[in-house]
Amino acid sequence: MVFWLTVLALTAAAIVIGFRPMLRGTGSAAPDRVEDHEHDIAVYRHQLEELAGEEARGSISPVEAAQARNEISRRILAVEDRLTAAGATGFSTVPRRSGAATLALFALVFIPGLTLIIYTGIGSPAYEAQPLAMRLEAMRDAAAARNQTQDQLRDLVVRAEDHLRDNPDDGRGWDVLAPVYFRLGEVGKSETAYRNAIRLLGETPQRLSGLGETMVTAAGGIVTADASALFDRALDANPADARARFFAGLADVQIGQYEDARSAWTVLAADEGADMAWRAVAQQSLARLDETAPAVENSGRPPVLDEATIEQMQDMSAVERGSVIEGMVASLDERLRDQPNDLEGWKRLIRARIVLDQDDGLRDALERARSAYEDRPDELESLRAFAQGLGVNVEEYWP
Amino acid sequence: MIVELGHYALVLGLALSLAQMVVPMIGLRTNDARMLAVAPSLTVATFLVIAVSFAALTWAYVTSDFSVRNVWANSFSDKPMIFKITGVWGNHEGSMLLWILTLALFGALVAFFGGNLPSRLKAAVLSVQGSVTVAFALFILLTSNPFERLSPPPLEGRDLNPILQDIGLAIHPPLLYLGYVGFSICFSFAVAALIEGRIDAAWARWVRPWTLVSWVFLTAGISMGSYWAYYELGWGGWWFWDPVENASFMPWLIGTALLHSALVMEKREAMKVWTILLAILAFSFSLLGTFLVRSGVLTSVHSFATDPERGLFILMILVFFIGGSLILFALRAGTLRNGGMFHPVSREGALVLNNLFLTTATATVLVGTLYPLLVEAVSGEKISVGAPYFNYTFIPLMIPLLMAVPFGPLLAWKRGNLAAAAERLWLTAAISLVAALAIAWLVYDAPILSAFAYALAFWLIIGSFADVWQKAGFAKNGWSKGWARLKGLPRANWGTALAHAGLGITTLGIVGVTTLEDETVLRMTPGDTTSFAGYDVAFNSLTPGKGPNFTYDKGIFTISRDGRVIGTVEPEKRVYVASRMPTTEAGIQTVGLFSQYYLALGDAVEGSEDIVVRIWWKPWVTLIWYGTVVMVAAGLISLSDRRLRIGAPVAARRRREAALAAAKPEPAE
Repeated sequence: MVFWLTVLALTAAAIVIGFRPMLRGTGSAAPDRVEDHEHDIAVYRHQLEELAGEEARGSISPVEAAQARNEISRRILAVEDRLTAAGATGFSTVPRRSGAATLALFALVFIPGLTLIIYTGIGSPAYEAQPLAMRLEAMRDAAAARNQTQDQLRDLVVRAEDHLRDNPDDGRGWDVLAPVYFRLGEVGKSETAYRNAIRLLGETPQRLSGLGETMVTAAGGIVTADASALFDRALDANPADARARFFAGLADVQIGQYEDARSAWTVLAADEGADMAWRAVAQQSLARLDETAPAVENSGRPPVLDEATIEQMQDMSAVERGSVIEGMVASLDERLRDQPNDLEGWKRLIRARIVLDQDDGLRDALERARSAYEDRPDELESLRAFAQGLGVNVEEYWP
Repeated sequence: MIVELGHYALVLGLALSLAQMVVPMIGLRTNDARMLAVAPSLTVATFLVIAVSFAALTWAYVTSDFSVRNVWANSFSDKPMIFKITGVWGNHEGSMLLWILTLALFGALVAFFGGNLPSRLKAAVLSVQGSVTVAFALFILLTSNPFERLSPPPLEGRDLNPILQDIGLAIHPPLLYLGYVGFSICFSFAVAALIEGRIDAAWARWVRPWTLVSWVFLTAGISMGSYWAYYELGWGGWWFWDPVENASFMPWLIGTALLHSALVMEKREAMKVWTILLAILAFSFSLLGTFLVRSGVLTSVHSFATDPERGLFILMILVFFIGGSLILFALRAGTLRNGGMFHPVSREGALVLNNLFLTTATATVLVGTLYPLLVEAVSGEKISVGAPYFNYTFIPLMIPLLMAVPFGPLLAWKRGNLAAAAERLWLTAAISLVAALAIAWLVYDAPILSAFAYALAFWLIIGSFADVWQKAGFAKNGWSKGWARLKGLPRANWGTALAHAGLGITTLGIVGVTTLEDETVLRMTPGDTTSFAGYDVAFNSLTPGKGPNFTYDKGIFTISRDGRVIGTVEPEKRVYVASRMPTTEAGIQTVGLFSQYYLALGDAVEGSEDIVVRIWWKPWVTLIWYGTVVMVAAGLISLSDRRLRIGAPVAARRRREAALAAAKPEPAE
């Protein structure tokens, strides 16, 4: 509202300034030709004055001065002639009466109308300015408010826990408590609560993807094979579940399926029906994917893990890390069973088996890859070259 | 709200400039004084709302509002405040907004200071100016909107190109735009004159101050750009014949020609067709420059984000305005009567010579700039036309022109006396020769030809004052009277003399640095000392550090001569955090009045503590820019001459009778 009032004031001010001569209401509609000629004559008069000055200083000779004076005088006469001629041929043409109406049309209809039409077409009038300092302050306020809510939540949780201790089979209680635990950062308790809720009340997409989220968080941001299965089940039941859609995309990223992830997240970010928070997360992840993924893809060495995941894993113990990687390789292996037609996927798997020094796994991967590409010698050759490049004696596996 | 208000104001600016274009044009057709009268006020309104829009974008930069795409793409929250502000025009969208702000500003200036113009001519000028504003406002809104928003807003911006994070960006583009866009007003005057069918001496008088204003700003802008490139790029050069530099140099050459031919048109009503053509061409070259730089046809630091769609749009604007004005010109040129006659040897003749050389020089620069583009378009082969081409074409054209400069002001109008002028210049010639020989003797290994170049520079500097010297007439009138006459001279005379002398000073700087420059590249470790061009350079230390949005390695060097310390320079190598882009900051020590010692850090030598150091000895180099400062000052002095500030019509009306009485033709003698 304030915005539109300001816009109104700006427009009004601009039009008043722009059409000020009309407001004064002075002056006839017919132009003053005599006045126009005065301007010309003023110029020539000045030229004459200059000439007099130069002559007085002796810069030019009297003869030159006289010649120049004649020239200037002729110009003045020409102006006078034009004035008289214009007078004779009707310079007093009465202007059309529609002049004032045209001006009013411009001032009151055309300018405000055109501006409004174009602006509403391309502007975002409802979008407030976002100065950084203000946003940072808002973020601090939000953090403080969040702390406060968390304190309140903790009180509630304590009461709910008391209740559940007495009635451990109250599925609704677990169902309510599970996301609250998660928000309070108690991931382990949250997972238990989800499992209890599913056990007592049955599966819903909401509970499945919620459980999946706790597992991913517990694994330090890695979508493990178990979690991935949960998201798949959630999506089977409800393809619109935003949380499951986001994590399915994340799982794709972690096994290098950037294009799948990108399309999933793009759809999610643009989905008006989906939860705002997940849309925003998808949007941000897309932006990060755009920054990191192409560089990774073009390197010619497809990694098992994306950089962000590797970063997260640096905080884990060696055992944890090992199990996370095993989990991811397993989920890649699983995916290739369903969709064997993925050359890059096979390369990643082969590489991972070599890196993890799993000879059986490598043999299995190579054999399955060979059967997948049996009738396509080009792809097969590419796989052979890839494996050989990693120091594998392919003949040993492909007799 | 402020951001969206700026967006709205920009759209309002488009609507107002449409009105500014259409309303006075209807007024001219229907002969309606009311519509003519709103032309100036509409122009002022257009300027004000575009200024509001520009202020809103500036506010978004100052507060780091990353919900504006343009701010996010070109700013960074930790950037120093001055570069947040200059960043507004350090990118394509923002600089186009500055471009139309300048367009509107010149319109408003004409509305404000144009009291001496007939109302029909003024309305026509403002209408044409409005049409240019409409074209560029449409361009901005359709292809380059600086107010595009991002939702949700990112938390940090992508930062400005580090090369542009310099005080130079605060000054160079605004100055250059004032010059570039200033020629739009000359263009509007020319087209208005063609529409109104009044191409006469009075018109020339009215257009001259505007040409001069644009020329002054363009001179300052080009000079500033040259100095910026000199100290920021770390290559030690001051002019590269880079297509973008040429793009600003061509309007300058044509503008200089226009400045001189308008003089002839005002005094003698001669060269009318030519002057109108030059006024159209000057702005056409400004548009061509914009097209070359912004279409992506050329790549350089000025290109910003390029986009074929934008290029096509500017090309359409270019074709419409240049083509339209030239068609109008062709239709009207036949109806022009010839002006005053003159002898080849005369002031007019000298100015024709000036124009011939300047336009030919422009043509050579144009060919050198466009030829590689044409070759690439036709054969796909990339060639570059570098300094040698320009040295063999442009410079030989300039030498006779520069030699002729001192003669011009000494020749009389209509019919001059070359012998008499030459006689008045013999002293100048003698002094120049002595000075040149003295330099050749002091710098014994200078090439012979350079002695001639020095003589030319001194000839220009000293010869420029021959006219005012002669007008003072010290020999004839004695010192006190001569002095009084000197003080009584119109400022325009001083302007001419100083501008020509400034050109001479720049020439002297160019000759000095070209013939005497020395350069070396060496590996140094902190603690090393080297001797170069007669000076000792001690490499004291190399320390890393952190600026607001960059990290740097700063070298500290002490320059001394015969044990006497001249100064300390601190060249830096920087890496900017957001863009990971390295830049150099040259260390420059001015020695004496005009010479400079120039140090730049190169890369570290792998496997050792050495770092590559480039050292240049640049004798007299600052004269190049001091000369342009003198030229700018000369332009301002001319502008302050009362002759260019002709009285308002009221005064004219009052004296009209007297004027008519005085103006009766005298009998020919």
